[in-house]
Amino acid sequence: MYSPFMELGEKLELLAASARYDASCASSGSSRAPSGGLGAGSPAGVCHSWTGDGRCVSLLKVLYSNSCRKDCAYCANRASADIARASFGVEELVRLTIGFYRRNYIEGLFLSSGIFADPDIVMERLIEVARVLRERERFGGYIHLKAIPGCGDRLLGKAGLYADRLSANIELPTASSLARLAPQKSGAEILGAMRFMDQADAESKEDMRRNRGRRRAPPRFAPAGQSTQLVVGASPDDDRTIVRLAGALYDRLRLRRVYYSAFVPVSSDPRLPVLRGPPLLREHRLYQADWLMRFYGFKSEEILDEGEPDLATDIDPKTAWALRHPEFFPLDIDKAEYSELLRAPGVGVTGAGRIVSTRRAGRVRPEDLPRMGIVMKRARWFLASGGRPLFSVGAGGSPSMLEARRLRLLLADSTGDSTATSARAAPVPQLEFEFS
Amino acid sequence: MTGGTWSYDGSLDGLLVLAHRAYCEGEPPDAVANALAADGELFALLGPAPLRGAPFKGSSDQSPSELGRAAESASAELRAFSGGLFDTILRIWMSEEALELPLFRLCAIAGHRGTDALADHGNPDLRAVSRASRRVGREIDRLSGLARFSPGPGGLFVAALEPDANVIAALLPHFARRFGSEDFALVDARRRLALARRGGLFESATGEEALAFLPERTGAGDEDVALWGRYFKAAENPARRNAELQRRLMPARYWRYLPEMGGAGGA
Repeated sequence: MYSPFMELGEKLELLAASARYDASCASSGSSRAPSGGLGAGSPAGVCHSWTGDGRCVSLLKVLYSNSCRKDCAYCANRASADIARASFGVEELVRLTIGFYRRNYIEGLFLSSGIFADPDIVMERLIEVARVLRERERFGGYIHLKAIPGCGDRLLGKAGLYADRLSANIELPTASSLARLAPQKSGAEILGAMRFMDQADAESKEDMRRNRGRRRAPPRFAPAGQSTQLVVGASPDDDRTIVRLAGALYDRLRLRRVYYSAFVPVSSDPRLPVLRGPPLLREHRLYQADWLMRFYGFKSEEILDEGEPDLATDIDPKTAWALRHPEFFPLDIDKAEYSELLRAPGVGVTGAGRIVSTRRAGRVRPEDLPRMGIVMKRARWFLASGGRPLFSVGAGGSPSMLEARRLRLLLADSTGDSTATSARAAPVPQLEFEFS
Repeated sequence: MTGGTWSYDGSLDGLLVLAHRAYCEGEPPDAVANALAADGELFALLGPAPLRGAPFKGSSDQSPSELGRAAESASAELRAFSGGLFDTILRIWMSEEALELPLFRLCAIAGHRGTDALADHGNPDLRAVSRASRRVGREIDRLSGLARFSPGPGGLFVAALEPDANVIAALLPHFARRFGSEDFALVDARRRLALARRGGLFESATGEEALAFLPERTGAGDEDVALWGRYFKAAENPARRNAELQRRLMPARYWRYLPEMGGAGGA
């Protein structure tokens, strides 16, 4: 599959453009020991540039090959797509990674691929690139490898010894959507790969624990864990299904990240919805909901319930939850726990931490809240001080304004997105992925 | 030595010694005189730890070596104090802002009331110091990602920077880890300072010597630069174009470093 007659720059353009639908570009969370050669992991990750779509460039994100046997309706690289095809050689990818890393353009390599041959063969090519980087070049930078669905567990185990992160894309929110839009892919295979990686991670941690203090500790399996991605808006699945799926992936398979990729219309396949553009607002709301699960202590079932299958477009998910739960508010800034403060709109992780730490030194004055990073436009409706709701302090409002409908109007985001809901036809019951 | 006017030479060592004094005595000065600033010289001679030992101007009452030793012992004690006090002192020095007085007041509070005192976000001194410290931290973070290296004299990979704050010494450990066993240099062209690692040894230079580290040529004709430009364009998804977000996340003042945005790319 190597394309020897195509110039490297041309190949790079083609295989970077083919990889730009993969949302992940994180380089954080790795604890790889220095290799002695070029490169080191940075626990917090580093952004090296931002492309014109506002996305961080942290890794050289390319496909090994954009030739693919699968014909997934939503994919720009599907077998039936009329696009130029190319494949890198191992040495070309090594040269690009090392050259770009030395210039401080990247933290490392994100390598995925079209399924151009048997999954084992494709996975072996990706592993070979990582092996040469680690063993021959002693490259200590970040490597994210895609787990090719259907490849053997032995290869996944080997990939995890070279890669900082592995990811198997779950592709779509439900098994039925996968069967409809990507009939050659198997949800069982994808989840099987995720389970294997979770198990390998747990065993590796246990190995590390047992060998702590020994001179030759076993190599850590994918120290930055696993992530996944799903396409949003290509299938009729509602947000509740997506959020519940993400919650289960975090809770049961301990994924580090779930990425949501707004469907970019790439074909006129009749199985796909007709959109004017990618449903970016919907994607944004899903990331906000995801944030609530990862950092704010929300459970997926709290974010959306049966009566509310989709995230609101006019307000963020935390504000929506707060408006549904007036009994929880107002929270007194003198007494509320950190975990409670996190539930107030306008109060973030930093702001909640500052309120609690300031309380240790003295009393929190309402006038200091903006300087602590609290967004008063939102928070004033949900916080109190000395028993008095903040919205009643000063000339800004009256208690009657806490009425949910009027408050929703006050707290609505100014942006709207007409494509956000048009992505979905009438919801139909879906068979969800089985996690038992 | 409580109250009154405290004077120091503008060096990091001097700042550390006085910060430690405020911390130990639990009493800040009424005013601070920065001798170097008064002389019109701005921290050009001395950087944080990696530059220590280079020629520098000492304070009026201590010889350079005495000041260095005093700063080392002050650092050890301040480092042990939780709440990020030591890092804050370093960043205030790097900021080159006249914030010594609020900093010493905070050190004094920390000395007699402990860590919790530094969590009082209603304190205007803490707000001023935190704001400057965050600004410096942000610049260190940004330049960790946006500094660009080009081949310089003797095969050394060099990043030419013009940072707002005096941060190249703070960037040094990050790039030392990144480059592993390879040589590299960081040049602050604005302050005419350079920090380099050659053959495993760290070195520093000032003035013309520092500028001699700069690469002679720009990115033109450089294959890596050309490949990176092609990659950068291809990685953008045109269906998601959002130039405003790009500009917000990567302010235009950093574009001069970035070949993908038309900048010189470290040269």
